[in-house]
Amino acid sequence: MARNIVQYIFYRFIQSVLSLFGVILIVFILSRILPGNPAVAILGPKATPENIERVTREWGLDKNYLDQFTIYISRLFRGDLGDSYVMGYSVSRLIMERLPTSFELVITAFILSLAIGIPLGILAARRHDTKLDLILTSLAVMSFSFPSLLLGVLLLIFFGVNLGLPVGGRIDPRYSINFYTGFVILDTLLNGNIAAFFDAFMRIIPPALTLAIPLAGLLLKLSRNSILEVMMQDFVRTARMKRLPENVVMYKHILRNALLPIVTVAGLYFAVLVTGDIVVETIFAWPGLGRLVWEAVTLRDYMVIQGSVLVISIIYIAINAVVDILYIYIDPRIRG
Amino acid sequence: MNMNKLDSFKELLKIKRVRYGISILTFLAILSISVIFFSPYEYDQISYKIHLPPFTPSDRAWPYIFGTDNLGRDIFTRTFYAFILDVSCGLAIIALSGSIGLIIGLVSGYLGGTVDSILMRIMDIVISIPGFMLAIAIAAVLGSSIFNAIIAVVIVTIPIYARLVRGIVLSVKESLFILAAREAGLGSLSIIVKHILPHVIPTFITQATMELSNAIIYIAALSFIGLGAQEPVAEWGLMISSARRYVREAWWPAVFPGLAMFLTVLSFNLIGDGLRDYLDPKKRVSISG
Repeated sequence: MARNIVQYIFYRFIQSVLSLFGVILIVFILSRILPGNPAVAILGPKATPENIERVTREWGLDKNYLDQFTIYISRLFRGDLGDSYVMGYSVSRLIMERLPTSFELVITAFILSLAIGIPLGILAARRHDTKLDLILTSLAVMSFSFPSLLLGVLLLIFFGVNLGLPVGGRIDPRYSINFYTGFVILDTLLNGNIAAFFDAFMRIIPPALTLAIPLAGLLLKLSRNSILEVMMQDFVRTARMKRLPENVVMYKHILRNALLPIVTVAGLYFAVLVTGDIVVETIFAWPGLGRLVWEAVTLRDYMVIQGSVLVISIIYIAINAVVDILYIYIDPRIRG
Repeated sequence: MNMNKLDSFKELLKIKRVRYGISILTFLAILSISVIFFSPYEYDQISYKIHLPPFTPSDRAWPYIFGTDNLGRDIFTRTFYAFILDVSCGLAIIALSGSIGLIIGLVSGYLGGTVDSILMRIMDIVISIPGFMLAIAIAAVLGSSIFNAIIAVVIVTIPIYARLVRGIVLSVKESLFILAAREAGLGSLSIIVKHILPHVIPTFITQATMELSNAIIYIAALSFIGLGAQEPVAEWGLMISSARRYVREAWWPAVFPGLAMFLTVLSFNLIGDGLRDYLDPKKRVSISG
């Protein structure tokens, strides 16, 4: 049994490495089929001949594709994603600056979606086949057809115009705070600046909700169905026959068995959030990695687009692998 | 045979979700066609009447039903021109990626061996990359245009069909009736077309319907970040992107295209969902029970 797990983890690891290699290869091929000289794509349209020559030498652009790919990979392993010609410094530095900002948003959204989806799912399951259940499940189905473009705009209008709250960006620039964690919500608290904390908190809610609502709908539906399935099982009937209080049956017997798989499935969607936040960050001017992609597209800064695509894909592949492995540990039925 | 098809269509319409989906789409399509033929405004006609609220009367035959945008264009006209554009893009995407994926899946599943492993490893890699990121990378290389955005989305979505079709082919390939057909001396091509394809088509169509809404979302999102349709084309993502900056002064230029997009995506999801239940007898029991 244990050997199977080790084998599976090993297999999953190899699979992820292959995927990573595939991503790098695809991004490399794409960067080389750009029309015109790749050095110009790296340096931008205003490149001087000396710079073009330097970049051609650095990236081995005068050699064959295999050598170019070797150089590309070895630079990548050193964390060198090239330089942004528009913003003037290295792409990896740009990405590292933006990464915590995106993570803050995505993690908040993930927590929100669990906090909304699971309790409503429990409610729908307890009142299954009633009107409330019907309303909740219909809302859930609608929420995953809701394009984040529309949801984002609606929340922007609701919070910004109707409620008159601060929206857009992470925090009002007039608050100067020291960064410790890179997460503004935590840093404002660590600075003891309550006003800044509320400002940051108000600003993260609308974009986080935009990301969270479709996922909350999915979690609602999944947890409802999973709870209903567990409710039909023999051990629940036994517990009821023992006249255990309904709450004990619900929380100790049913939820524990029904929700663990859901939480791990939710992990897979965490990865989806990472990619989904490009649109949301653009709508709410949230200065994270997604917004960086948008800025790079607008400025035609190809190296930044390429670097961000690589980094986001790597994060996505890594999270998927970790969740897959965690899933075996949590769900003993699969381990067998 | 024809009678049979008509009957099964009637049967399908009995599913509420399918009925709702088809009704909403028909309604939107009728509106779009009437806008194209009868609207007194052009979709790209700029005027000085900027940010007029919805239902502002006009000197033309129609009021500004959805108001005007930041360039004084009629949003009602633009929203329904965009319906035609976005749905056509969606259809083009599923037609292209569906047929390429279908061929890859059939070949891969039927031939097996090295061809199968090579094709499937490529599909595995493509599917393990987040689709939207790959589409951005491809569209950024090809250049910003709606045509290139379509190509990018097609490349990203091929593996979905290829894997699905291959799975079905593998499950029927060893059946007795296929062996019998082979014994009877039928060629590979006619076995695939006459005996395997009919098993693939129902699931394939269901998947394609579901993917249609994804394709529309992809196109709108790519246009929104500047990698798809370009001004003055009427496209939902692009319209929302242009309206985003003025949303505090005027909500309507962003909200109406978004609502049209929502209704369209919802309808295709409803139809796809209903189709799946209709074609999958196991699901049908669990839904009614």
